[in-house]
Formats: sequence, structure tokens, C-alpha cells
Amino acid sequence: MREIILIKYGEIILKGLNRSRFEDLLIGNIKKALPKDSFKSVRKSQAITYVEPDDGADVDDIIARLQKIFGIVFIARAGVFPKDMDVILKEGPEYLAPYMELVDTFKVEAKRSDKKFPFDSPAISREMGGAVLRRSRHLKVNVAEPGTIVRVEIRENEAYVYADIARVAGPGGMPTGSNGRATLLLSGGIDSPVAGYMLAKRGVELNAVHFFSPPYTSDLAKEKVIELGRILAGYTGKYSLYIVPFTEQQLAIRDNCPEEHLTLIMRRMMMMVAERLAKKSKSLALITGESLGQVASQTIHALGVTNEAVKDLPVFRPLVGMDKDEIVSVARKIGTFETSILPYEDCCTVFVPKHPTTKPVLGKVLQSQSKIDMEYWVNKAVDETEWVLIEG
Amino acid sequence: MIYLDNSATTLTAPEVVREMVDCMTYYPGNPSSRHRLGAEAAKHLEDCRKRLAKTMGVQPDEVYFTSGGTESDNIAVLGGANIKKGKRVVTTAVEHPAVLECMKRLGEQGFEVVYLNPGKDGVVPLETFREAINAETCLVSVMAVNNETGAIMPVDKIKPILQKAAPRALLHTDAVQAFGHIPLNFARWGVDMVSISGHKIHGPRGIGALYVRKGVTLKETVYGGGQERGLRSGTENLPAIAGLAMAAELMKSGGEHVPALKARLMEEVLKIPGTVHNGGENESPYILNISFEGIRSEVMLNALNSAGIGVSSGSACASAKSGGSHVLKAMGAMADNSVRFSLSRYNTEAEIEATVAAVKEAAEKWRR
Repeated sequence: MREIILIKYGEIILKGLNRSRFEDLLIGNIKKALPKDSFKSVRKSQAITYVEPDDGADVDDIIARLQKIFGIVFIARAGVFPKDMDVILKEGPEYLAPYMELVDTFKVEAKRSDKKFPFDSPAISREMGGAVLRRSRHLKVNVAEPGTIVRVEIRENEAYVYADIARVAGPGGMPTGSNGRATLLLSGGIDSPVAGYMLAKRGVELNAVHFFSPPYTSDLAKEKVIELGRILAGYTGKYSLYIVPFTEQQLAIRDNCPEEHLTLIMRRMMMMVAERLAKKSKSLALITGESLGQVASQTIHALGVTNEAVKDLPVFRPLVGMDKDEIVSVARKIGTFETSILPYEDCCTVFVPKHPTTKPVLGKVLQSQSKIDMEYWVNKAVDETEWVLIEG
Repeated sequence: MIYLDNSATTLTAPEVVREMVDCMTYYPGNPSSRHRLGAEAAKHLEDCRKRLAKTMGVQPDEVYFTSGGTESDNIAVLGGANIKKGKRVVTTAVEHPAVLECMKRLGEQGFEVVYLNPGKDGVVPLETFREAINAETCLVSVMAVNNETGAIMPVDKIKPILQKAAPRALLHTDAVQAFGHIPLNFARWGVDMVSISGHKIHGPRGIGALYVRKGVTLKETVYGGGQERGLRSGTENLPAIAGLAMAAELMKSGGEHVPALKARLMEEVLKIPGTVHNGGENESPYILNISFEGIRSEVMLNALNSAGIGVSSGSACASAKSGGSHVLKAMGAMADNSVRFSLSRYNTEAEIEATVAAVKEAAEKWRR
């Protein structure tokens, strides 16, 4: 049985003149996300994009990948039939039968883009309805509130038959790349991958910065971050991960600055390093997983102090108003949670002050920070940064 | 890599690999089958049992093959505890989780489980056993060598206590870290059950054995086709059994230089300021546990890993969990700062010197 995959998108239709640019971007993203030999074509026609699987391709795998592509609202698989009413009526209900097991009622909607087809839409609906009833005998027709809608589309060269019940949801959002590039500060925790996901969903192309502090953090911790990056790349496509060695910086802060400001100065330095790397890679913003009040360094005062270290770029904090439970549920949904909770140290927890300030005053933090040469340490971190390409 | 994590697992001996390949090649049959291939496999199985029994100093029909140390411990503890004989079970607080988790089950089943604490040297004093063992005792389970500190427990002196206070009680020892490393004489010590494991002696994983003294009957805990005289059903893992027999024979020699290596490592590492030896005199020559003041375990681990040296903090099983070593906590040691060096006969003097240098460098650089 030959099948075709229909993709519908929501929001991007609304974008008027930009629509065609968004669609092309989406088609490009789809092509990049699917194995090269898995499809014959990806094409659009009247607000639907069609993916034609190659003969013998794993359609389930294609759909699983499509479910991660931003901009897609739902995905349907349809049976492909010759434009012959007898064949459609004979084989269509057979193809639909397993899906129809899941419902008690249905109706048929037919669409005919080829007006020369000898049956008009009401006639197709009527005939098909009868054929489905004969094949799946438990069904009843219900036009007002159908359990599912069986759709018959008569296209230029062939006919598609599917049921709405066979649709699966895509992630929604906007196609990756439609909203510029931003740099995610990626730790090994639960929050930052979710923050990256949320901005990526808005069409932002990502790259990411990770700070690591050997031997205080292990190779396993670094591998864990790369794995988190890889899971995110399933949604965003491949991107760059900058790995910043940060041990000496942390030791310098620890050895020279007052203890209550250790974390804040470290976070300020991270922001400075991230901003430099972002600019180098033509990013237009920073993204962090900070959430208001979650820890001492994320009070409104502390966020203000951290934010002040960023000179030019906007800092996006998509989780700022979310509860931990809400963040965790997104992490579970996108598949990063299980990796995030692996018990390895991350560099933020290496040197934690016993009594961190929760209401820091910028002037005092700046005074503490002046004990070390920030510029020197930031430059050194940027210079020693390694680059890794992350692929999904 | 300089491999000093032999208490986690050992490198497989090349002789063992050959033995296993030969076994898979020439003895493909199921020992329970009634045709020639089956008979040959059965014969080979019994040969392996004889060879292993000989290295353990016991009779072949006292040896049961299992899937490893954990299963041996489970069969011995869960199968050996008998509430009709008495509701008290005596063990130590520093056993391997394979024993401790079984003890938890026994506790839930209504047994009174007594956990004995070690002294500062990691050894549970004999006196402590004497105080804990009473007429209600039906089982004593005590490891021969502790997997984290190498402490040697007084397994050899417990039977006389039992004979006086609880003559019907069984004595089990988890000898996974002792077998092949220190002199053992289970028969003379009057031990009723002994667990050993293949992969701690350069043999394969997934294989172990349980010695059960003749005359001792255990409740079966695995049900099936009745292999291993009903104690442990399941088609015998013949290639691994052959590997275990070979590994056990190899352990009879080749480790003569290991005590000197450990002594050297200990002497040099203890010269570093702020180091504490978590142990005492009575210790396996294969295990050295040191705490480094001001350096967390994982920092030393990571630093040594970057220098190409593999060690661990506590046991591998405990590293996967968090919360630190139950063994070192029971000893009152610096559990968060400990590093376990565990040696094997494949280690060389040069490796120990390189390790000493790397440990010194790391301690100097990362102490805070």
C-alpha cells in the first residue's frame, strides 16, 4: 500500500506576504530532518505540504521526525489510489478499516481539485460513506458530531484517502530559522534545554554555550550536555555548541572575591563570555533557563545584577514565570528530562557559597568583582573555547 | 589507561578468552540433552566444576554455578534464613548491596536483622559478633574482604561462636573480593556458604558460584528446569563457567608482587599532607582506600582520569547512586573525599610510580 504524508501548518498561514518564505523554510527543514533516501519529494499545494515516502521507506520513522519540526501543526498519513472510483471504493475502506475500529461514527468529506473527475464531491462522499459502512459494520454516520472524518481528495494525478483519527500532532510554532539566531546558555540541568526548546519553537535558530570545569566536573558531565544538545537538535537541526573551559576562572573568583558574591560574579562572567561568543557567531540574543525565584541567584535582584553584565544583546528568559513542575513537564515532553537528571556535577554547583546573597546590590557586587581582572578572564575563556557540531 | 579499579571489575585474562572461545566452539550442546553433544557438554561442565572446586578447596558437588556474586548472595541469604530455626540474622553494616538488600527483605518478612558496625580500621571485631549471636540466630552473613576498604573480616573465627550459641545457624560469606587474593580455607573455617564471582578475578561477567557445604539444604529461590541440582534453574552458561574455572586456576599464581605495589602506593600517597588511610593492618593487598582532605572524591577521580588513571570512589555500585559510601560512613571516615585504588596482578611498578606522581600533582593542584 503506497502512502503519502500530509502536513498542515497553522500560524505561518497568517503571515500574509511572508507565507511563501515560511513555507519554503519549512520544506527545507523537513528535507534536512529526513534521511536522504527516505522520501521522493516534499512539495506544497494549497496550504498543505506533501511528503512522498520512497518505496519501502519507514513511514512511522518519517512521521516521528516530522513531529519534531516546528511549524507543523498536524501530520496525516493517507492511502494513495488511482483516480478510479471503483478502485477507491473497493480498496479505500479496507485501508481505513484499522482506524475506523477506533470510532463509532463518521462522515465523509470529499474534495475534488480535478473538476473533470466524473463524480462531484457530494457524490464521492455518498458513495464512499456507503462503502465504509459495508466494510466496517459497527459504524454509523453522524454528520453533526462525527467520531472522525474520512477525507477523499481527488488530486491531479491520484486520489488520497485518510481519516482524521489517523492524524498526529506536530509541535506547532514557527519554522526554525524564521526568527534569527540566538545563543543558549546550556547547563546540564532541567531548565536550559527547555528554554532552548521554547525559543526554537518560535522559529529561532540556536547555538549553545556550555561551561565546564574539569576536574570539578567530569567527562561524563560534558557527554551529558552533548547528549542534551543532541536531543534538542532533533527539533532544531544541527547547530554549534561552544564548550568553554572555566575551571581557572572559577578558582580565581573563589580565591579572590567575597564568598557571598561567588555565584553572581561567576554568572556575570558567563554572560560576558556568552555575549562575546554570540556576537562572534552572529547571534542576536542570549537565552537562559533562569526562572524567577528558583534559587538564590535567580531572585529579581540577582537577575538584575547578572543581566547588567550583558552589554548589547537582549537576554531571553522564556521560563521566567514558570513553576518547576511546568518546566519539568515540558522537559518530559521533549525528551530531555531523563538525561537532565543524571547525577553529574555541573559547573554552577562546584563552588556554592554557604550563605549566598538573595538581595544583592549591584554596586557591592561590582566592588567584589573588581578584585579580579574580568576582562582578562573573559578573553581567556573565549580564546580557549572548543567548538562541537551537534546533530540530532 | 593505568587500571586501578579492579574491585569494580578486572581485565579479562587472555587465557580466559581462549578458554571461552574453545568452549563455545567445541561444546555447543546443552548439558541436559541426551545426545552426544549434550553428553560432551555435561562432561565439560563437570570438569569445570571439579577444577573450580579444587581451587576453592572444596568438593565438586558442593559447587553451584550462578549468574554472579549478587545471585550467589541472594540464594545464600534468602535461601539460608529459616524462621523455624530462629528469627535473628546477623550481618555487618558494610556488606555489599547484594547482601544488604536481601537483609532488608528478611526484615520485612519478620526476621530481626542485626547490622554490626566496623571499627575505624573497617573490620568488625570478633567481640561484636560474639555479643550479637544468640540462640535465636539462624544465619550469619559476613563478607570475607570489604569491597571498598579491603578490610579482612574474621570469617575464620565465627564458627566456634555459632557452635556454642546457635549450633543450627548457617554461616555465609561473600568472598567475591577475597577469592584469589587472600588465603582462604572455607572447609576448615566451617563456613556453610561462600559466594564468588568471575569478573573480579579476570574471568567473565555473568558468572559466579556458590559453595554450599554438604548437608546444608537451602530453599530454592529460582524456579525452572532444575539445573544445578534444583538450586539454580536455567541452562548452564557453559562458556562463562569454563572461563571462571580457568580464571580461578590462574589466580593461584601471578599476584606475588601485588602486596609490594600496594605498600609502595600507600607509603607514597600517605606522604601527601591531609591524607588518611581508611583501613588498618588487616587488609587485602589488592585494595587501598585513601581520603584526601580538601578534595572531593570526584575531583580526584576526574583529575586522575585525565591523567589516564582509572580509580573509583567507594564501590562502583555506590558511585552510581548518590549519598556517599555506607561503608566509610559506618567507619566514621571522610566519605566524600575517599578514593579507592584497587590493584591486580597486571599492574606494574612503573604504573604505581606514575600513579603516585599523578596523585601528588592532583592533590597539590586541586586541594581547596
